[in-house]
Amino acid sequence: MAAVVLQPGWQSTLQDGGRAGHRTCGVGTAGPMDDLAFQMSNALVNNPLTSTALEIFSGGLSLEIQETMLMAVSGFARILLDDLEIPINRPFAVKEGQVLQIEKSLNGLYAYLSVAGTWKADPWLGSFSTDLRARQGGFGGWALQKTDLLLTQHPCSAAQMRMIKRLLHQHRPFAKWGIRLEVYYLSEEPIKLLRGPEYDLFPENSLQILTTHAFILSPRFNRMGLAFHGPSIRTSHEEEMLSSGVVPGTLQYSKYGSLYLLMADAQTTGGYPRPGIVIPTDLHRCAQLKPGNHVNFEWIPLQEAQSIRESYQQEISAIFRQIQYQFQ
Amino acid sequence: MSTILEFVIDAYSPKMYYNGLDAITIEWSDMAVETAHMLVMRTREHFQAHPFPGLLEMVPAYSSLTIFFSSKDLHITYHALPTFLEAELNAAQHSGPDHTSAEARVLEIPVCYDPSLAPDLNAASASLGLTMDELISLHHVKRYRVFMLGFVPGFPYLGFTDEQIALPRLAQPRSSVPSGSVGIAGRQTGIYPFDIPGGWQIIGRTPMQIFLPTEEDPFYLKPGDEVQFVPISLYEFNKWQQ
Repeated sequence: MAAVVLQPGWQSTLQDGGRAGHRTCGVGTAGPMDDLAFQMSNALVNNPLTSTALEIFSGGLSLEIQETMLMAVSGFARILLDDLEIPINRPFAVKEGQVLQIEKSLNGLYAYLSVAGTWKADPWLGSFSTDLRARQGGFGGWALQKTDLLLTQHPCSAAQMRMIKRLLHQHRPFAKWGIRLEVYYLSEEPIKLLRGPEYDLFPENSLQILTTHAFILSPRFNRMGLAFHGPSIRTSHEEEMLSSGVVPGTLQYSKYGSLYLLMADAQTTGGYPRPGIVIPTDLHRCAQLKPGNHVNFEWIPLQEAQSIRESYQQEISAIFRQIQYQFQ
Repeated sequence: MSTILEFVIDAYSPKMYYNGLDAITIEWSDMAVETAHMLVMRTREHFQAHPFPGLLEMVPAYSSLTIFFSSKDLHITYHALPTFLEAELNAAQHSGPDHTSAEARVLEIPVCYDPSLAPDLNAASASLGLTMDELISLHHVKRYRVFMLGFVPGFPYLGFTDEQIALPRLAQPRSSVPSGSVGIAGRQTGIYPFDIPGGWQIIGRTPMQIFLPTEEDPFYLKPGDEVQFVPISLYEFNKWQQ
């Protein structure tokens, strides 16, 4: 046994790196909304980076711990172990009988709780991620409910055991080191856009509006996508489009002229005109937006998006190496 | 069939565009959808038989094929990909009929058109100026092609219905449409694979499970299949469900 769910929170789902290879049958990738925080929480407990983690939307999660475990939380949350406040982005050790609470933060919506040895989850079509529409994978295909029992998949490695022992010997059971990720979230930089498939269908003034006006996240958002308030733009022709393949990150305009950004649970095909596509390395920032937050968009060429991704991946790998060093 | 396809490829060079950083969509948009869809399936078969390094998966749709790839595993530079794909499309064209699909699978799906299972049947037929029986027979007399699966896992987009039974989506989508419900939206018809919110007008229901999540392959229908609806009575529907 590992942990009992006392309070499930708004929507807490098990997610791994995502479900690939079944889009042709209409199965989306699912996986984490914030890929950066998801991988970091796994790195902080020395798990493989795409191990199953618990994605917690807007806090409210409370777990009764049933055995000694090594954990970490990344993303945005307040973490309480009994009465002790645990800093985010650091590994910590928990013991039988303690209560772990993940509360919401003012700065973002999603947090990831990883455990050394990985949360046990139901596989479906090659992935442990929860598909909320088909109700498959993760924890019985659905968000956690009160009294659910979370188990770990594997025993801890020797390195993970050493870290647990070290942390339990300290006055406070969290690491004295941590990582800082603010720079990846609190940037004032515009969200970068590639030209979308229907870019040419939009008149020039509509495309300008996209980059000269701020858009505000509406309260209408979930794992499928985010709706924005802002000036309405239209394509130059109003015919219905035939549906075709869509990807997470797609910015599309609905019939009513409102802007919608497809996220992790995006459907695999769609028929709305797509002026732009958010680059993959900006999606974690979009995921952590809160209703009322403003965003600006900026066009960049494909080549620049490629080089941004390369340097981003190098930076992230450097952080992973620093964390791994702590487990040696 | 292959001669016709070759002519079409020569006549209409498909459009190709990046769909984000990790996908390219090939679109045959300037032709009848049925013809375009045959090219979509043929191109997909070509890449299934001759996958290139880095190819991850493909999404066929009405008139387009979206190809997902891992840029770090490509054997060519990222920017050479469209040129490479164009050459491959030519190869697909010349590779002859051995890669053209055999006859499409024809799958029979029983549908009960009883009004108790078809909440929109009455109003829909009235709005079309047809009797319910006329709408029902126009729906099942035709064999449909599965153009794609989308919306939710396993939802087949079938087409195209007779123009006389084309229906708009509901102004207010239902918060839950029962599994197996058969609906119409425009000249498309489809089957809800499980209970899910939806806005298509429901004119019948199949007792057949087209989504079997615990099977290794949970999807009864695949893009390129053909579907023949077979009308059944409410009695048969209930018997099937037992």
